Amino acid sequence: MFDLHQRWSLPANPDYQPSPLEAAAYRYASFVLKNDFAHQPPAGVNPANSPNWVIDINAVFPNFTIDMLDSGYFTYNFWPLAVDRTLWEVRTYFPHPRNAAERFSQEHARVTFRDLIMEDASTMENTQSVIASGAKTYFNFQDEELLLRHDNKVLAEYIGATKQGGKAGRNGVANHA
Amino acid sequence: MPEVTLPDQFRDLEPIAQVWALRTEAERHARRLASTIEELRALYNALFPRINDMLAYLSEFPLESLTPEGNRLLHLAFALAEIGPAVELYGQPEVPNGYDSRRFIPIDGQ
Repeated sequence: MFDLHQRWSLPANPDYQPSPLEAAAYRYASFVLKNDFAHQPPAGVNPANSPNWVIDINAVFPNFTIDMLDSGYFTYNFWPLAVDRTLWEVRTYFPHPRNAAERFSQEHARVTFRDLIMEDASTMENTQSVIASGAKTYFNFQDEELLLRHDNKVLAEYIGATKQGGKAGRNGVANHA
Repeated sequence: MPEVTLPDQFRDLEPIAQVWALRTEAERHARRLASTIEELRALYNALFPRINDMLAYLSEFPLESLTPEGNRLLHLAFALAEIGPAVELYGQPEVPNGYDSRRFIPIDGQ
């Protein structure tokens, strides 16, 4: 963690078995969950040099992440539209494909990734709807949600600094961890 | 028949290509969502046994020098990529309990 920003690395599942179509696509290079270290990642990526590394997520306060994988990266931009609405932009980046089969592999990875983050997005909206219901007056962050706790703290301080003493928790989100 | 058809060795897939060889992700995704899982399984069963041959063919071409016939084959292969997760993982056209992907708007031309 940095003062405002965050970086974390996630492990791969070493027992993961690709689906038949994934296996076909992998033969022409891929994006998600491929980690054969055929080439060295750029300096600073996988800082622990873990053999079981799959992704680095770099969060730049307040609304941008750049996520590095073995053979590509993707970014999120979050643009607040209202207190309870966000425009979420997702971009995927790949090396220029050496041939049309690699382009297929990239498309397969992109579509699989798009489907995967549909699960993330529905989780976000469900969480938001529960918070917005007001049924609970506070929201717990548990120990493993260290980065959310950090983000909540940074955001509270940031708002407090600009509102001359405004305190976190005023809007029903408090850190009880 | 369309102006451009699939390469000779894949010509038997042309009836499928006429429905599924679509140019953009948005079009392919909309067709996936408008299909039943039975239709998607039939498509998968028709295309998956050919994917290694399709990729071997496509691997011969840098993207910049892909022929119109090869480009049609690539778009047909993209259709298999599009429906793959639905058939292999979900057993339904949409992501189970997922966000409504119709609200997720691809940038023009993608």
